[in-house]
Amino acid sequence: MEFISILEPEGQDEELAAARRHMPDFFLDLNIDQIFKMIQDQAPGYDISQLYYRFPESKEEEIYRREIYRDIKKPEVFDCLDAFGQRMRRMAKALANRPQVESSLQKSAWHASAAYEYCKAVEDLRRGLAGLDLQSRGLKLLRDYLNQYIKQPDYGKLKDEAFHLQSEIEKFHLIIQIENNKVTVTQGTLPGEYDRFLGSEEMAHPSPFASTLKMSPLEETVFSAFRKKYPKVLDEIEKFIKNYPDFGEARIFRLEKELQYYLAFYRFRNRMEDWGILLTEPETDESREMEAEDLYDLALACANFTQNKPVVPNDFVYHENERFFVVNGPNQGGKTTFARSLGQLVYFTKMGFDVPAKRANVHYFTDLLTHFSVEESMETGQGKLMEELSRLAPMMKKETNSAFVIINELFTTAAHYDGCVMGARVLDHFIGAGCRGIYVTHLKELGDSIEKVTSMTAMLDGSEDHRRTFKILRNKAEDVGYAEDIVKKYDLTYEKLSERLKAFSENTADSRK
Amino acid sequence: MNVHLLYTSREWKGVNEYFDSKSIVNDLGLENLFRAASRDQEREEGNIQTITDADEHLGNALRRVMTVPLRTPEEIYYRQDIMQDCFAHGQFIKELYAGARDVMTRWEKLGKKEMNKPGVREKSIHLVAEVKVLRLFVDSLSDLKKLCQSYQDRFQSRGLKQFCQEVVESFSDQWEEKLRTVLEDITFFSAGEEEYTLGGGDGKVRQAKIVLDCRVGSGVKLDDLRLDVVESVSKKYKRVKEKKTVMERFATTFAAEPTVILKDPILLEDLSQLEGQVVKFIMNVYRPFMNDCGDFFEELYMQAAFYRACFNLYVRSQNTKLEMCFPKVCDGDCLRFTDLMEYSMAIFRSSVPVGNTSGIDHKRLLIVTGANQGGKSTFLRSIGIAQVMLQCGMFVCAARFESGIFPDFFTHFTRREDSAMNSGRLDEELKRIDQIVRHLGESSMVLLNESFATTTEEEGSVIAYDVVRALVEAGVKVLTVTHLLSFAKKVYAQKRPEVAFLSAERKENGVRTFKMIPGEPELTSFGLDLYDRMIPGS
Repeated sequence: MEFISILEPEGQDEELAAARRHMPDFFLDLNIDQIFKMIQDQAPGYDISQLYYRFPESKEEEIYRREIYRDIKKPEVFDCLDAFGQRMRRMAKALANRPQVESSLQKSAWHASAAYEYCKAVEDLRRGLAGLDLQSRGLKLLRDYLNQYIKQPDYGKLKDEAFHLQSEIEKFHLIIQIENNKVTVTQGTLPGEYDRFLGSEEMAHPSPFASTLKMSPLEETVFSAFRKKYPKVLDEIEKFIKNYPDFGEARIFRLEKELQYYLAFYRFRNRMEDWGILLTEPETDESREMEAEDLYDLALACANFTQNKPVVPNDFVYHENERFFVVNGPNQGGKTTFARSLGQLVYFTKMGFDVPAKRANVHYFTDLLTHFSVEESMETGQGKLMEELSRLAPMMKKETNSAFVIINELFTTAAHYDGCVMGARVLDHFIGAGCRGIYVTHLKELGDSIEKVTSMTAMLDGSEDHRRTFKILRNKAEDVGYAEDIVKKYDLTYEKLSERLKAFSENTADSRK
Repeated sequence: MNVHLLYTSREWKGVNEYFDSKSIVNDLGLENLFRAASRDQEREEGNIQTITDADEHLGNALRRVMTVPLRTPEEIYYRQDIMQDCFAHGQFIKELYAGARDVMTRWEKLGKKEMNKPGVREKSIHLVAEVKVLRLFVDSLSDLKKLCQSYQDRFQSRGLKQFCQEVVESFSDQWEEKLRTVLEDITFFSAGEEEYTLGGGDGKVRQAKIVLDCRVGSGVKLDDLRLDVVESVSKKYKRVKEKKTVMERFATTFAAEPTVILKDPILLEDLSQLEGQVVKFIMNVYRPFMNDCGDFFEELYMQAAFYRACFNLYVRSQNTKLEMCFPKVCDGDCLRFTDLMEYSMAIFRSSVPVGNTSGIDHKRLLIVTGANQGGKSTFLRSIGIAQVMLQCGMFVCAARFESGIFPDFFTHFTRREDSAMNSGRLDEELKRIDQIVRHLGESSMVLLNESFATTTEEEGSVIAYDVVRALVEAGVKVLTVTHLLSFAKKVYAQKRPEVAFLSAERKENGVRTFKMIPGEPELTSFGLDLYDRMIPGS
């Protein structure tokens, strides 16, 4: 098998590759858009959205990616690939500078420096990968491919010339003397005596004419005076672009972009780890039950982190024959959050990445479908129901065999009985199509009658003011009065005040310890 | 470089005020002190003269320092010691402060505010100003060093000894010499700009002489510069250097090398840009030093102002013949004083008020009752003022004063105009009590002056009893002046050991002495006496 891409072992037909994809609907429903934003932040200068908007084509491809990501999580592999990315960005920058300068000397200089960065990137990557213990098919293929690539004669010639010129330029030093509007220039080096006096040997001097890429009139004057007497190096620079007008291999350029898919996620993962938010690699053993321990909503965890609040994790297991969870419970009790975390679990597993849980075993799904009620919608009654159904219909028509389905508060405006009937039909349909999923609802009866459906409830802590625990447990939905939390007003009666001050004096006692 | 005149091991920036310092200032009438501290007062031929215009910075500095409590006896004595040195060497603190103020004024003129705005540094006009600021700092530090050297051995306080040592050591002669050399090397850049001219200012046009080594960077631009020579030379005069410059050593080599004489204005423009970059780089090298100096002078301006302000108050108090002492710190249960006076009023009136003497040991609650216009509020204020002054390391207006440290210090004064019965007012009052309760800490003192007077005496007494009881039980020290006699009587009847009672003295003939004496709260505040006096013969 030949190396083509680190995302798609088989490549991709060109039409599909060129099509610009929209953000999938479930991104917003599951708050993956928020998570993605943070991942994208880890790949400045690249647009990785297209890579994240599309699931792998097949189970094969999913595994191909998971293997690669597992390799990339080794720091030495990450560093090697990351360094390649940096070099390639320097190359891109040099190429971008080329059209901004006018003189052919400068144009050629930028071109030569881009060629140097390109060759250096390839060489370093090849040497780096050769010394690494790689497990993934994808990176092994890449390693073999690079070993072939550098043997191509065109590439060899380019590399020799670019490296040679680079070392000439690095060795090339000028001495400039300025006095009384008289500028003298020659080749050579000086010890930097005044810098030593200032103690600034370690500080970089800004280039004096850095505000423009073009040579300043003074630079031009100095260089041309110098070149008249010492033409060698500057002439060599100017010739490079004529000798090597084009360079580079499409597969290498593609590799650079696709690498960001993994590198950004791994950086994001480390950042999460710094925040105390742990992501782990999911198992994908179909012979065992699908389950997770300490699963949490990653988007919520990030939002809470900035406010210093923890998230409540949940465990779940789909026993054999269980296809759907139907979740009941109080408002603001963590139902939707739980549903989102399940969706995130499936999404990141499918992409080959780590998941927001302590431990998880996830089955293969062909797709991820979500239907969240649009709360901001002003529509009610018929209108809202219409709107809901119009979004539901394509989901149910789609080739939904073995998809993961998340439904959140469907049919809230329909009559209670109608809602139950329609809900049951929807469940029947998806179960019939071999789907698995979660259905969040206010309708307590919904979970009752259908086979392969398990009821769960968002739990309260049993106290008088019905504090939410945000725990979702297997439980038959019950009728509980969810009275509003009592609004406590402070009072200055002796009892209240003593109570307040007692808490305060205990606090200070604690702080003294 | 550290100032550390207010704290043993930190600067002023970032300290925490009293929770409600605004009320403290208002209730205790501290504005009088701030105002008085802004002016110099000296005796001239027997007459007291206010000899300077008000320096508002002094009053502000005093306000800021007074509204931030110290937390340990060590911190308090540290300031007291420094202050004693300052009072003993008035000339020093005057010069120290004047020097700091001078730096700030000149620095402001050179565009201090602009200094850290983004983009400003790019402008060459600003670079010229920056060079001047460096010069200003060097000159000012040099003056400061001389001042410190001449006083250093005379000080007793750890704070001032350390300060002088720090200045002398951090700004060593060697360091000063080096900075002056650099400043002279770059005079070509700011030549013709008066204000500071080093080396006598010969008025000659200086030109730059620069030798540098560089690489041809990406895209054929000058890059990776290294400086070998930077000098300012005048056409007629050449600085004599002991060692040969690099150029002189290479002179023969260079003689035949490519040379351009710049005449085109565009090229000359480029040249001056290059020179500017060199100066900018040099200024960057000294930026940490300049930032450090900037912080140092800002802190010094603030910290010296506090002692300078106190010195003004001290002179004024001496002129009024007020007795002053440095208070002692004792534990929180004790409060002892001899001839304690209401300092703010004394300064305002330039007269010596009635002093009170009391020893209130092992008490958590003090209840002051008694005659109207008998000096109760004044008495409470005098304690409050002394407490605040103690907690910022100042002297107090008394022959002796000892108290604990209460960083969580609150005043709750009902002012006369507030005392109209009105449920809205009571709401507000209780809201403020609630605020206080929320911010109590482990060492809290609350001064209640005529609190809960915005309702009937019956209701007020119940609220006062509940609130005060809860506070005292939680370990808060409460000093209260009250008209609410049912409240006072009820507490008195319990004969609890942690409660002290004082009342404003009233002689048999109704004359008020403005002295507080131990005594049982009585059922009338003798308002009738006052009524009779104000409306005689009715």
